[in-house]
Amino acid sequence: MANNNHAAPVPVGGNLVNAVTLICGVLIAIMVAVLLVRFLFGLGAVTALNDGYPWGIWVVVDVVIGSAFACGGFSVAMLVYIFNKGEYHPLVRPALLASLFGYTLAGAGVIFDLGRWWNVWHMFNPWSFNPNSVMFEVAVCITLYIIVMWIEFSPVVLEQFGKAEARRKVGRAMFFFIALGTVLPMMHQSSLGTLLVVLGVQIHPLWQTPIQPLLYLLTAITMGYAVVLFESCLTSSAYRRKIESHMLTPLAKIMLGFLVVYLVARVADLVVRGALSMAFVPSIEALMFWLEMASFVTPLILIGAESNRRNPARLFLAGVLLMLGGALLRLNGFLIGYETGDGFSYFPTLAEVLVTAGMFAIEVLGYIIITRRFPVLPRENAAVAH
Amino acid sequence: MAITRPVPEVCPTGATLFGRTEDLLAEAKRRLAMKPGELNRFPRGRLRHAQEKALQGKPDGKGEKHRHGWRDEPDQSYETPAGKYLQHVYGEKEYGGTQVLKLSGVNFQKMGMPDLPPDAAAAMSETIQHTLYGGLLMPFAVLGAMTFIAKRNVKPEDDESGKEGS
Repeated sequence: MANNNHAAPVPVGGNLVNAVTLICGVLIAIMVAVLLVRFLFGLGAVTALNDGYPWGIWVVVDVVIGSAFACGGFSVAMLVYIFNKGEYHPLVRPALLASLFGYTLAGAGVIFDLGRWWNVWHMFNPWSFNPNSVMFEVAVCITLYIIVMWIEFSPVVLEQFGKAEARRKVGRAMFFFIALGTVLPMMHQSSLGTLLVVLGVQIHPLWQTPIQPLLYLLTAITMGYAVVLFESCLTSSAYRRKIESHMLTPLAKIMLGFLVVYLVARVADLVVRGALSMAFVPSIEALMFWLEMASFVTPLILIGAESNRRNPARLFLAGVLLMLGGALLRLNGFLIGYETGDGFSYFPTLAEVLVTAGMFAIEVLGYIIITRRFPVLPRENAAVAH
Repeated sequence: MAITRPVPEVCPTGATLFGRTEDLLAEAKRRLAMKPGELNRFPRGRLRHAQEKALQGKPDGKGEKHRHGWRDEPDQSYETPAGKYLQHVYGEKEYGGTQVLKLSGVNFQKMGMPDLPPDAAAAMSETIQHTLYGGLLMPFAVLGAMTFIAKRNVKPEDDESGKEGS
């Protein structure tokens, strides 16, 4: 590794009970109550799902958007271990932690949405494999990736409990899991886009393109870096730590690089397919398209200049906007621009929104507990020395 | 132009036919070839397959007593002037060919039918999947490359806590 003089990660410490964790606790309790009703009385009892819209926000927000938000671990690991940028090493553990939660919850969230969830094991039964299915590929890749991420994160737990021998053994094989941890997300993040290709003319032309897998992969990577900016700024502010701008400023530049490639691909595709004119037809789809594009383009204006990239407030805002843009791309494709025919409409119920809120609350709560009790964030006094 | 005939509010008898796709397609093509307004014979209900027509009314080997089903089906065809159709069988090529075929005098989109490309969306996604994952060659090649690079860049003791600099 080029750069090994980073501060070692240590637990932040401090009290686990505060306003944020209490709110998270309440949201999680509500979610559990709603899910109890859902599992006892079925999807129809709590959701607005119907034959025309079999996928609601539990799939689109919790799984498709949630797993894209969870690409920080993959994006940073790729930067540090594949492109050998050791200077970003302190970002690996916190990013991996956020990803771990995001993906594990996305995996669990799929179960809530399955009408006959007790059949989910069929997916992993070799006699039922359908290798031509996009959904099969997504399901298998995400499952494998969750396992790989827990292995990648295991040194943190082993360190905390003083299992040096086990820590060393895992460390020796780690390069393989890191490699696997870059290939698997590339596979399923792109395939989440391919899911839209299957739906054909039911998807609005602004979001129906054979290069959807490429667009989803590029935005997933971009969102991965955006989440790291967001999470690092938020952690610094919440734990009153120094903002890691020496890492975030160059990281933001890499993020913008991916963003520009995405924007070129996105616009070129619209022009080549002749779908751009649809963006000027007054419709809810066109409005959402422009909101989505604005969320992607504004960060270029906000932090396009090197001097602006040193401003933590701008970095934070750019991160939030890119997360929003990526989320809108997915929401627009899967729900807003999805039309199954006359007579069907979908708007989430309060119960659905509360479950989604509860899922994000688990992520926040888990992140707080683990960073306070396990060695994830770099030691503060050493970080100040930079 | 004056409307020569009133627009029917319900489908006329015999508007819906069923049978084998190949027979339905042949019937559709036969109708498109007719001159509008010319008297023609039209089948009603189930289209009979060529083989059935040949066996029509012949013994079925079970004896006269047990005869039933299509062998006894009466010929319900009728004679009427041919309609004016668009020269297009909807469902012949749409999405790679569908089981239901339609003829229409007006644009199919006006009838609420989507304008579908000749290839099914699932064929496109299958092509994408097979290109990227055919025989899992690409994933394993990428994994191999990534493993090679990661092996060089990841030192086993790399992020061991408490070891700063090495």
